[in-house]
Amino acid sequence: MINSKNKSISLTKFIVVAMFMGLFSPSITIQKSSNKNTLASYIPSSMSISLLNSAEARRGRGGARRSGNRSANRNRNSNRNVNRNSNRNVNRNVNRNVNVNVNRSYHGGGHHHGRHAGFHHGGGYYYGGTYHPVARFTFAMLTAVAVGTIISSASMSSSCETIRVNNINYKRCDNTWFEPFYEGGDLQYRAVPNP
Amino acid sequence: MINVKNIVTVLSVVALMTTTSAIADSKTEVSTQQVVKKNAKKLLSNSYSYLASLQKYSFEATVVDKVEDYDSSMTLARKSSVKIDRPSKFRVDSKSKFIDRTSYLSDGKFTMIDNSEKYYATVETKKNINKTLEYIGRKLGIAMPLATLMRSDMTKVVKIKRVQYFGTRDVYGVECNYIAFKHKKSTVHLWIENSDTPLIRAATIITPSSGKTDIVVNWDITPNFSDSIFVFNAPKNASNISIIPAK
Repeated sequence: MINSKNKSISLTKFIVVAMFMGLFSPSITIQKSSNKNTLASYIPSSMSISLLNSAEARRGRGGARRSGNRSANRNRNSNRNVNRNSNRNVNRNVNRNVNVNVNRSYHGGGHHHGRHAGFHHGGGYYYGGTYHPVARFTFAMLTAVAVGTIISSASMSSSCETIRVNNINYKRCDNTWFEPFYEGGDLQYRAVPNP
Repeated sequence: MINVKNIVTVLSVVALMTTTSAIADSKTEVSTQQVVKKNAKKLLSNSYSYLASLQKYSFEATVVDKVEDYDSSMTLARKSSVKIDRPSKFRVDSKSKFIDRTSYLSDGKFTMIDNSEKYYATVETKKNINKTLEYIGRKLGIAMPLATLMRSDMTKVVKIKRVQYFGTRDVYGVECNYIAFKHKKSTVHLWIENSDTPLIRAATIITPSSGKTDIVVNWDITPNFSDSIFVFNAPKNASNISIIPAK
């Protein structure tokens, strides 16, 4: 009897100490949908509850190691390569713009005869022929879009809203409105004043 | 004593015979090449004529474009389903990463719709498939995919001077005649079924400036579809948008 009582007291002590150390403190992680401006973004896409996750465990391993971690962090912070990397990313975006031009040539000079449209005298007598839209500008590239600016359907951001006004489904991206139209076989969007 | 005159005469005769034989051989070779060229051309025209003879047919095509530019390359695949009812009806459904489009022709009305965005445009055209393809190509700059396999007048439209024959090849279990020819800046390779139904089973089009397109075609020459599939009905909340000619 006394033995089992001692055991349960020891166990209780252990649990209390462990909780203080954070080993058994529950952690709750909620991940939200990355899609902004939609109803889905307000609904968590996943939720996980755990008694021990890596961060908590690290924290729970006591202060003895913290000083060591601090010095490691200092080293990281002093590393200026982090900033340089972000500059590199900017350069990569520029390269993407070059790819837009690649698309243009790919689509036959930015127009509506698909590739190999010239096969069999052009005018559509060909095997391959595509409808692939021409990337004139990517919306992300444009800081301010002037009325009349034309962008291709491939460049239209998926985050833009579709709003129906006078039986036409306009696209609204931030505060810029786009009206759809066909230029030959290509679906394009033209920036228009607020309809 | 060996008569030198005789030796010279014999050598001359041998030389003459050799030369004549060589000329004859080269002539035979040339004539064989001509026969092959003629056959290859005939294979192409037979294929187009056979296609023109069909009243109702459909095909599914897988088209893969490979583009190389600067130091980058891009591969883009799409599937097209084409249904033909001559002389005045067609329907083309094309799907790829960038597009989901259906085009209709029914008795002089051509409509194309982007199914995902629900945008469509309709234009009055000719009542004939060939003339409609001609019209939308020239007036509006719309190049229908796989139009070559939709027309019935390809033998008149296509004038290829030289076609090469490369023998037979197996294309997904179908024995095909492999031919190739140049057209403008492109080289066109065709695999035409080696049978009484000489349909184009596969094609590769190579254009140095833009890349390569591979096409595989599956045919149905006894399709069972109703007239209603050629008639466009605007879906709910679809937008009828304007169409301007391509610049």
